[in-house]
Amino acid sequence: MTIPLLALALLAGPSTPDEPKIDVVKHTLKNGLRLLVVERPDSPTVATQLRFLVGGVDDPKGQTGIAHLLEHMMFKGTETMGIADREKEKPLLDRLDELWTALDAEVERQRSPFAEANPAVLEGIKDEIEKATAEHRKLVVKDELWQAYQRVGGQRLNASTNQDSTQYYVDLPKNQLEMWAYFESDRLANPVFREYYSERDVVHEERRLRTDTQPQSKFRETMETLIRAAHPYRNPVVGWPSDIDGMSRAEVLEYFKTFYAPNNCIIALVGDVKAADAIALVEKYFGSIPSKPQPRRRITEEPPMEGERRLKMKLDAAPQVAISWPTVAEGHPDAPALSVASRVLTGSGGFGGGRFGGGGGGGGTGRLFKRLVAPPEGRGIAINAAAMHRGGRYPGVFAATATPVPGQGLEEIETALLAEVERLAKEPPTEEELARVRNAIDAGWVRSLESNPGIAGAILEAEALAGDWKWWRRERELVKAVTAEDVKRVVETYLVKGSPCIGWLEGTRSPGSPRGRGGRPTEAGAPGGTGGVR
Amino acid sequence: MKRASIQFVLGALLAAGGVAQQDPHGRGLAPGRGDLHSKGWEVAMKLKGAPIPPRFPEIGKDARRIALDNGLVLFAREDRRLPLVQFEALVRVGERYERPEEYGVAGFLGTMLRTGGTEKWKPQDLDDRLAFLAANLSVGIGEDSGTVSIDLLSKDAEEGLAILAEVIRRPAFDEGRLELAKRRSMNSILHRNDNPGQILGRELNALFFPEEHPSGRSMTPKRLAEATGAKIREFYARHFRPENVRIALVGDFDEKGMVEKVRAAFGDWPKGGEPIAPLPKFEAKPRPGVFLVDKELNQSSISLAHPGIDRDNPDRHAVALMNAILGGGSFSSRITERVRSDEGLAYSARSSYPTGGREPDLFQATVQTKTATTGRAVTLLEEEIRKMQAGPISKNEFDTAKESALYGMVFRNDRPLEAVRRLMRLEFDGLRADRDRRDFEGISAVTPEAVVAAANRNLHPEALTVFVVGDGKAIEADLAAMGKVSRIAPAEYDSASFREAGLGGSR
Repeated sequence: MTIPLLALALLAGPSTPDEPKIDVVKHTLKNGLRLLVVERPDSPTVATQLRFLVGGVDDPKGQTGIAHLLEHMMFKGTETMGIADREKEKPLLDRLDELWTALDAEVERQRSPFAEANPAVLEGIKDEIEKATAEHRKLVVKDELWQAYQRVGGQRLNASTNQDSTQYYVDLPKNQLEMWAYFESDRLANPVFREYYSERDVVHEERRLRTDTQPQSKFRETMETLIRAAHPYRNPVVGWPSDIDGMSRAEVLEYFKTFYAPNNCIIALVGDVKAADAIALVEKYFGSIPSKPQPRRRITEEPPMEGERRLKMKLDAAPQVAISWPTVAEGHPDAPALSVASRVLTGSGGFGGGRFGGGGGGGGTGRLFKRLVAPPEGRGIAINAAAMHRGGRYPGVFAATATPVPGQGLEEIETALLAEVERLAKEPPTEEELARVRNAIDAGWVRSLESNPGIAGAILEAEALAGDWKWWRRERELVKAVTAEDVKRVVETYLVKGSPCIGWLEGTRSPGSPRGRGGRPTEAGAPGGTGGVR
Repeated sequence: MKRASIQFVLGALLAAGGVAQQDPHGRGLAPGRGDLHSKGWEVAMKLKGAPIPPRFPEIGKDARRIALDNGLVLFAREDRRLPLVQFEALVRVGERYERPEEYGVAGFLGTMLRTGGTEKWKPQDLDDRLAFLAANLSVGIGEDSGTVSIDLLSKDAEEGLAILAEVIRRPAFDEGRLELAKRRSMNSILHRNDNPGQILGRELNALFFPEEHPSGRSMTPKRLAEATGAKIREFYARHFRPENVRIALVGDFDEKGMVEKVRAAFGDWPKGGEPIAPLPKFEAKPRPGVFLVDKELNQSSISLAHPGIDRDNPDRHAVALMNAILGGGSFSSRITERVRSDEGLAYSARSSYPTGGREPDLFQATVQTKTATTGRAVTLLEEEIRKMQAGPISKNEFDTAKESALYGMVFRNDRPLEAVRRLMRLEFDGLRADRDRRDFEGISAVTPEAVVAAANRNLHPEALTVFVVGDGKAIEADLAAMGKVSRIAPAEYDSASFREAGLGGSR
């Protein structure tokens, strides 16, 4: 496309001056474990992360949430950690497994409409469980690994599970790395899943906390099931309630034995550490852990979506329209252009997600903001609007969402979102819009080099996905190379000609009669009082 | 030299006696985590390195302090590692300064500074330019301070500085952007009761703090209607004056040259106007009792609370360690161990005891648990609070709390921006520049006896507020067993509320 010369001069914009580089040393152990080291001696600390190439997407049928539950169990100790007397413990753990298996089976049996309820049987087993648990608890030393990391000042200590991978991280003072190597290799080689059954309840509480009591999360969870009929990305990483409740310790152990192998693990160490020392340390502690042959992953491919799908939910939440289209996986040649399309629609800065601006959805410079939220000619119909492309190891989705101005109907929002997406094919991004994306990529790269844990996460993400940490940098170059024509093509292919999934989240607040204006405490049972407004 | 002295402090104190070697197996009546450890632990402790001395930022070393003639103060520091610059203004402004007819105005001032444009820049043009520069401009206004900051590539530093000066000195408060901000606020008001955590936080604070305090009030249709552009301008003018502003300059620049550029951008900003009076200190009173917000959910959100202490309290170091042992130290703390690990009742079970505030905040023990175990969870929290006072504490839990605090300090201020920000903040708060060093020494000096004594002075189990958001009909009996239940019905607003307030409802 042609643009005036003057504009060209202005748009030359941030070039790439003395771009900061990053040196990653990669070392692969004989057992297949990959280690990435970045020497950054500015602060006397090191960010550590272990990433296992297994996540929610690998959960077998009927066991959704197993990758995540396993992540929790990895903090429960080993043959020599977290237990005062391992020999005494063994028969107790066996006994507990028997009792819980019996209880789970009995609960399932009694749930059948043809079975007779027998609460006494359940109570009997529960009593036995309580006794054995109390006995076992005398031997357990709680969360020793966690405590030990705290003792040496560990920060950001945690773990997380997503659809594609599971990661364990902690930032440590630089002279505590040997302790880290000892713990992490020990729990990879010799974990013991003690206190499993109470942890299973903890995970169910996590689900209640993050999903069941959060209307927006419920809506998102349901949308995921709508856009995928068959591919396991449709299942929540935390798992469906009955799958969590019914998972056995043996099943989690089996899953661990299959996937937690050195050849399925990548480690990153970023900070004040010499690569040679890091390699020697990891060789010493992880080198003797045998590799395991990996099974072929049986991931159902999503069949092509035919026709549009719709969802309507009425919840106690701000109304919202969400539209999703199936797209491609990370690494697919069309992924960068889809990413640019979403950035042109969303923009950056301005009215962000937070209370006072900043980042987040609904930036002040995207097309959606300029059309739906703050059109130059006057009031908009939405208070937020954003788009994003989410790819993963498997095909992802392009999603556009908007929150209406209070009182605004959802139909007009839907129409406007679809129109704006289609317009991107008819009026592809201008050079100015593309320059903003490129500049954001360049500045984002520099900013990402400010944080050790940030670098660790980014190189692991790339190494896990592409088998090469350099993908971190290359992907940015691919996004920067996207042309207006590329955007037009992918918008036409995946969005305009594709089938959308359209979700309406309708609020329960009905316009009309005012409700109770309570606020001050009243006696139990009394109707909502009047008075101050809270 | 420094290393040796810190090791000495740590070594000497950790070896000090006074901690109970106790029965590790007990639950219920026993005081908490014991000293039992595994064989693996012994191996690990042999691998443990010595603590690395933390860096305590100092004026002159970590930042140069430059006062301009108009009262504006700069804290400058070169950081050449990456081609970035960060400018952050810290301003004496906040919700605590709102007059009754201005409630809510401070928040809108923040939004308008960020989005309302300037004399030179129309709002959309400014956002487009910032996007082109890939610059982050952000504004935050809290209770007693506000920040306006910009960060961008160092090659664009001058333009970034010019934009920052425009936003701070010549904001335009665009009416269209104000209307958009109000429509967003309207949406938040309509949905203020969707999320149990939000209800709990707001309604619990409203029990302890009056409307005159920002913690005790929230946005209403009436306040929204009354937050006019004129009021926002007036509030801005009272606070945004050079003598109320400090600016941190950190990044890839020549320090002397950059200071001159800042002088050029801000030096001619005239000082003057009424000085800002020091804020009063509000001391909340206990509100013992059982309070319920009825909402149909499958999980209850629970807080046990009472007023806490402020940053001037001599107990603050002992209270910090006490709270780490009680429920602030994640998996090493008693509440997490019992409620989550032992009984599987919650994903999140913890306590917080803020010790850094100008005013005392609330001590809280919180948990979210399924409806059926609501009563049990409250009982466990209460028991753990009481046990903290009864003492003793085990050597293991004491050492973990203390070492976690001391060994972890090496992560504080480990980036130049953080060190400069910290120095600026301490001066703003009227605190000594060596406060971090004194905190380190203070925590080093805490003994187990001091922790128990601090628990007795600063925990008040007899005066706890038990606050629950949950399914009333299912949990009321459990709650009634703890005392008379006061139901709180949070205010609800709908479009009619906005019409009544003169906002013409929705579009």
